[in-house]
Amino acid sequence: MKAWLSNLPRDKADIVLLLLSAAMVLAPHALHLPPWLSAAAAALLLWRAVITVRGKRQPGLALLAPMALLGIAGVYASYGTVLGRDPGVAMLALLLALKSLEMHGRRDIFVFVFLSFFLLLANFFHAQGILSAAWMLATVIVLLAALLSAQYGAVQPRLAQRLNLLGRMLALAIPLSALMFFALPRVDGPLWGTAPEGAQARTGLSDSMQPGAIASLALSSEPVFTARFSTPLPPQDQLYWRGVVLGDFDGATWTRRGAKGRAPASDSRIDIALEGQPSHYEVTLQASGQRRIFALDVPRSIERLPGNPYVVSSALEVLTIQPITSTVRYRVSSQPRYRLQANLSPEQQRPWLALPAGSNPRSVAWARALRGSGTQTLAPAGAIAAVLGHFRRAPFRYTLQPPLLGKQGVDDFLFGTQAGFCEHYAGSFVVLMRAMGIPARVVTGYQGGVRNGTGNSLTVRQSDAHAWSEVWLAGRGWVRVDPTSAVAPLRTQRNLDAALPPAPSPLTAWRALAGLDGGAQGAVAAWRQQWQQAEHAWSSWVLDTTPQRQRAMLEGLKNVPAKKLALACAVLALLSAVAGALVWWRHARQGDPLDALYAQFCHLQARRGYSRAPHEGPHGYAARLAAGKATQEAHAAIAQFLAIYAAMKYGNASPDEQLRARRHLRRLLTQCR
Amino acid sequence: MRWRTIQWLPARPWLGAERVHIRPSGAGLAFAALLLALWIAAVNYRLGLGYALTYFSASCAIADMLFASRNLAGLALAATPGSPVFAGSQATFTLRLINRSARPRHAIHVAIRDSAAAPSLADIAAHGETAVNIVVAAQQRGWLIAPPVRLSGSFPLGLFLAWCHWQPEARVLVYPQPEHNAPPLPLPAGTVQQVQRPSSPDSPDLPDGALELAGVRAYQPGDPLHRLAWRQIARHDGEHVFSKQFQPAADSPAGAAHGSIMLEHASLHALAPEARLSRLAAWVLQAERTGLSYGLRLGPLTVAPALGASHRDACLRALALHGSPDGSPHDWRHDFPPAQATP
Repeated sequence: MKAWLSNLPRDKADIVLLLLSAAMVLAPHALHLPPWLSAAAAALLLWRAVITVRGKRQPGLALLAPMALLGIAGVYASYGTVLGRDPGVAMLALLLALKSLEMHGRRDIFVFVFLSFFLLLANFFHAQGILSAAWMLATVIVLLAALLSAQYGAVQPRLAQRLNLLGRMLALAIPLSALMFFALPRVDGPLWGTAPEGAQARTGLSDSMQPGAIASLALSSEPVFTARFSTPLPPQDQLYWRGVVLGDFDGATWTRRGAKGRAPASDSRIDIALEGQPSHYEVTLQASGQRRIFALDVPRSIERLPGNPYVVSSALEVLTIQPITSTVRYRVSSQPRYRLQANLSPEQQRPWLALPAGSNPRSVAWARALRGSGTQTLAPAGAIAAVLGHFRRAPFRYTLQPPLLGKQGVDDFLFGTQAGFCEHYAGSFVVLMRAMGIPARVVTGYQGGVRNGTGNSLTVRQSDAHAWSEVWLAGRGWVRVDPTSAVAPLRTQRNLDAALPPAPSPLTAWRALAGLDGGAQGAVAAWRQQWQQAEHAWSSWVLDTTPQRQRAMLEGLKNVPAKKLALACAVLALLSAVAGALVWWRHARQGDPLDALYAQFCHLQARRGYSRAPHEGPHGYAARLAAGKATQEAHAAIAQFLAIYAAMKYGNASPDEQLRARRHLRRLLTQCR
Repeated sequence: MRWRTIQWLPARPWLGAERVHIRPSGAGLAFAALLLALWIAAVNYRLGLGYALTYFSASCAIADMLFASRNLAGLALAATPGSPVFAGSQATFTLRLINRSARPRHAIHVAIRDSAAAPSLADIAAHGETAVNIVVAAQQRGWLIAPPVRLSGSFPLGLFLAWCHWQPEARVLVYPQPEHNAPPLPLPAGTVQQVQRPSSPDSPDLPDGALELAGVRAYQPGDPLHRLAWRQIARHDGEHVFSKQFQPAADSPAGAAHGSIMLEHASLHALAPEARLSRLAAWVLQAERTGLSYGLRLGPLTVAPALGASHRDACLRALALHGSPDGSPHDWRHDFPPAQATP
């Protein structure tokens, strides 16, 4: 392969390098582009590679133009539009692949490379992790190597030498770009418009819940956020990361109260009483394209959410004004013990008691019977305990793959399948509560998280998505009740893997093998934790450089004590002096490297007592040294050294040969001591 | 890049960094637009890595600027004086680009001012040198100064164009154009009829009685082809070339007693000044071809009769520089600094 590559004529090798870079640019996009487009792009690049290697002609415009039109039609069919971010990226990818078939001059190479740069950036819409950055760096290096190779004149050195030159350029460019990255002021927010939310949609909690919504999330191990605690980590079964509060039920789907029509308004006064010690932590939230941020109940204060104000609804949901399109970091202090809305008027209770008329009649009747009437009426606390006891005693199963439910979903679940996921338990529990006349609602969010080995931090993944319920008790306010824990207590005490039955389902087996969710112990889990730490540091240092943070960094510099500042200046001055001296020294010894080697050799022999006479040439010197005293090997090395030196000095060797000869001479120099 | 009138071109054969100019190339301007687009995308979508990519690309462009300038800076330049040519033909200057640093230099365009000829591309290895020939039409007799040269290159990434101007310190002597179909040599009376020279060099060998074979000597540039001593060449190793030497026959009439003629500038007063020199040049060549010893009288200057390439060159030089301020054929080297000296 290598021999084949090096035998390729130069212009062909250049094109092959360019195609390689295009493939590297497009590879991450294959995860997000429609499959047909990825396949088409790969086929086009391959086609170009075959044309290049076989030395055939590129297809004419008569063939390319219909292909381009077909591609545009395909994009339109896939996205329903050709405008917007994602269709735009698809069009660019298509354009790049087609452009590869229409390259004739140096100018086309520039167009190709510049297009690749833009596509490289488009990749960050989807992922900005460490791996993305590493892949970007590798791709840019290949791109620049392709660009560099096209700039050579008649002589083009081997790839290793081209990369060497590129390496020296990067040695300058990388520190410079790091400096620019941290020092150049950032512009806050979008320059115009807002990033469209729809295009950003990803897996994550939505504003509604129907059976299966959260179970599908549980299949994704994508991290949602990392929380780093400065106070002791709360116990696992207290880690309820509040997301959305769902109050409206239409018989099948739970939706956020007033989700339709009304924008989230800040409730200026929330009737809340706080008790006990708060816990403090910092959350690094991945871009979700949604407008909610997560905190433990009850978020007392949320700091440092620059350029994106938030509101807290009366149900204690935290909603930002703009969708979160990049990784954000914020500090929260949460109160684990509180009384929320201890006094609700009957008017205020009513929305939390509503049930659609005629739906799930069996459940409603069962609940009413359980609660009793008249003097036999159970107190709310007793009613809750009775329902949870029922969940515990009856043969309910916790499963990620529940059987399908009919139209009366809660009836089917409670009296039929009796197998489900948190959403089934929370949903039906709230229906039962409301039937009993106890105000209740569903809360979705995340529960738990995986503790990272060394740090005092947790990583919460989509698979930690959870639904629980809240009931309102007079004088006590809203109280969290997690009916799932009645069925699968391990779900809330440990995590999903622990809650799932140990039956060898392919899913669990695979997860255990992959060490997802910290289920597997040992090296894989440890490595995963290390990686999470690194990702956390990465997102905080690289992705989270906001204008506010930059300002804070500068402020921090001002507060550095004078002594330290002077020391830093001194170190900097010393370093630059050393660097200057190094440059000067290199400049000074910039003679013929061959002569330098010869001088070294002569010095070496002089120390042995055979100094070279000024009039002596290498041949005469060789003859005299051969008569001198030395070991057999040294004699051979000396003779060889002088022979090679003479051949290089007075012969007509190519630069390449000279380089090899110098390397050989350096080796010989160590042997002829 | 447009050539401007360059008032002062430094004579120092060393391209200091201060002599290298730089500007973005067309592709560089397009790259700047790309950077702007990348930056806007990074701002609009709040992409931390988008900023990283933008700044990294910008830094690569800055590195390219530095490297493009370094590709030229520090280059040592020398010009090898070209060999004399006749007016109306092409003079060739050999420019030597010498790289004294350990880094190779690549893809340097060498172009001549006012010339539409495609620039030649030079690569110079580390500690190496490359010779580039530039060809200039020699129109007038006298010294032809090497034209100003522009060295340029957009290596390594093509985003910036570095260039510098250089006046090579080399000149080529342009002999007067020999008159076409010049009249026969002005032989002294009595020999005119007998000495017939070929009208063209490839005619059969001379059967003239005025000259006789004097011997054979090693070929010298300028010896006519029909004088080649084929027998001697064949007898020898076939690599060395000999030409036959003639001298006026011993029995040729008087006036050629010394076997020589004198070419007089003054005798051609009927012609225009340049035409006189053209004819004299043609006669010098004719005399050299026929092997007739000849001298030249040109105003105050007199060249004694002789034969041979160096004599011919001396005569042609005198003709080329006739009337010019540095007409003296011996001191012309001193009006340039020693740096220009031939290698």
